[in-house]
Amino acid sequence: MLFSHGFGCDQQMWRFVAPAFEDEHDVILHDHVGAGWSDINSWSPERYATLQGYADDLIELVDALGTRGGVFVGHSVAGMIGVLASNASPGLFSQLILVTPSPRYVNDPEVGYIGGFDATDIEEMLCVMSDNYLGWSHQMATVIMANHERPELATELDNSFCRTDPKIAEHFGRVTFTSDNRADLAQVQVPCLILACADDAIAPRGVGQYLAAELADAELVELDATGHCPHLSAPDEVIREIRSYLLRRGASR
Amino acid sequence: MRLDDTSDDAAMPVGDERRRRTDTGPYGESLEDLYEHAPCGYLSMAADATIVKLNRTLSDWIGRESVHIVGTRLHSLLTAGGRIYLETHLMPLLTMQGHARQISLDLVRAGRDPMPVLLDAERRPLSPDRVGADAPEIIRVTFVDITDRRMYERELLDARRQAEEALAQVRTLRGLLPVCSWCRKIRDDDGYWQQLEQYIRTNTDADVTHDICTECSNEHIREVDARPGGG
Repeated sequence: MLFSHGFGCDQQMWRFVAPAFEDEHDVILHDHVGAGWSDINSWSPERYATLQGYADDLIELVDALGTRGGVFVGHSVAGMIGVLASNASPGLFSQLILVTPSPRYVNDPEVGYIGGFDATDIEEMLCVMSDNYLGWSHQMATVIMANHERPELATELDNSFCRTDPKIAEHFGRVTFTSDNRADLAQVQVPCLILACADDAIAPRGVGQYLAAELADAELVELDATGHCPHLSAPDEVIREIRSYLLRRGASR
Repeated sequence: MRLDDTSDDAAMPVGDERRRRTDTGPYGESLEDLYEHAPCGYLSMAADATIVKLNRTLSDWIGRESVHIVGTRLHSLLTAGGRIYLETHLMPLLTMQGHARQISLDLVRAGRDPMPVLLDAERRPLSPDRVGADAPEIIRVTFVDITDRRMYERELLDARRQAEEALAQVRTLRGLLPVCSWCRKIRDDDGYWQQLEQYIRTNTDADVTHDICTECSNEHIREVDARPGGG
């Protein structure tokens, strides 16, 4: 069972949810290249120019671990990364659990699709990000790199969960929020569970319903939790829904 | 409590005397006024970012009555870009580390341009007697006006970006240039041979004008002069 984090922070986002599955599954957590404790020397703007670069990493990771056919759990943009990986490599995952996913964040008025944002909103968000990376000084980067072998020391640093090299974060932000994976949904061959939230500022209600309609075999669960990160704000509800889905689908060991 | 943690304990009075002074200060300021007219915006919100209380400074900045703001979520005070940042960074930080520091955002104001603010937030138990996983919590958020500072930061960021671009351009002009030893054309990064003039125009801000140096002038003008019928 592979847990994949979304845009913003790192694999620690799963810390209230992933442990609940450790008895029944081999739980794997990973950081996308450029985030968390990944080796940022492996990052390049060319490889990660689209979400496919991140999807290729998932395929490499699963193949290297020899764990094909497991359950994939992806938050936000990682949901679509899982879709792309699954389409490119049939049999990679047996089920996709998509937590507050969105196939496209920007509205597409021509076909009446509501993603929730205008293109100008995305530029504004990238501007907010660049304003907030003034705190990423060279001094800070040195401290983080110096503690690379001992992450427990560096997590003492404020905001370390969400601290990424600003250039990489801005690039990932742009790739994420300008992505359009609506055309990839029809090719998905595996069953999917979509967990959507009330009052999610990133993926509005209609987006979950759109996904459920476009995917061949999908169940949509609208959680009571609010916001974009139910795995943080309502972990028990998320655990319960994933567990009951896996029981129904016979994927529990 | 934070108030008791101040390092200059020794200089503080003790017992009731101390409590009275820390509550209202030596000039007897009212707690309500300390809150309502603090020189920063101040609000309290539930874990799902629903605003439950805010001070007068903040409602004045926003330009709306407090009663119309209470009950909405923090999102409604921010620009769309800020709302994305709130969901992807701020709320996760508050859940995982219990606080967030120095977050730069824009406060939406009625009838005016958004106000650049610095946001700090702290998660606190609602009552000091009830602690533990299920104890109700409140998130306190302050906003500091950074209008001038933001402008200065943007200028600095622009200057840095320009400096980096200039540096990148200088770097392309370093290293070895493959020059044809016969016609003096230069091979560019894509493997094409370019005239020296073309190469300079493409890769630098300099342009080229044409003139004749003294040596060539002496040699070639003599040639022209020496031609039959010349001169």
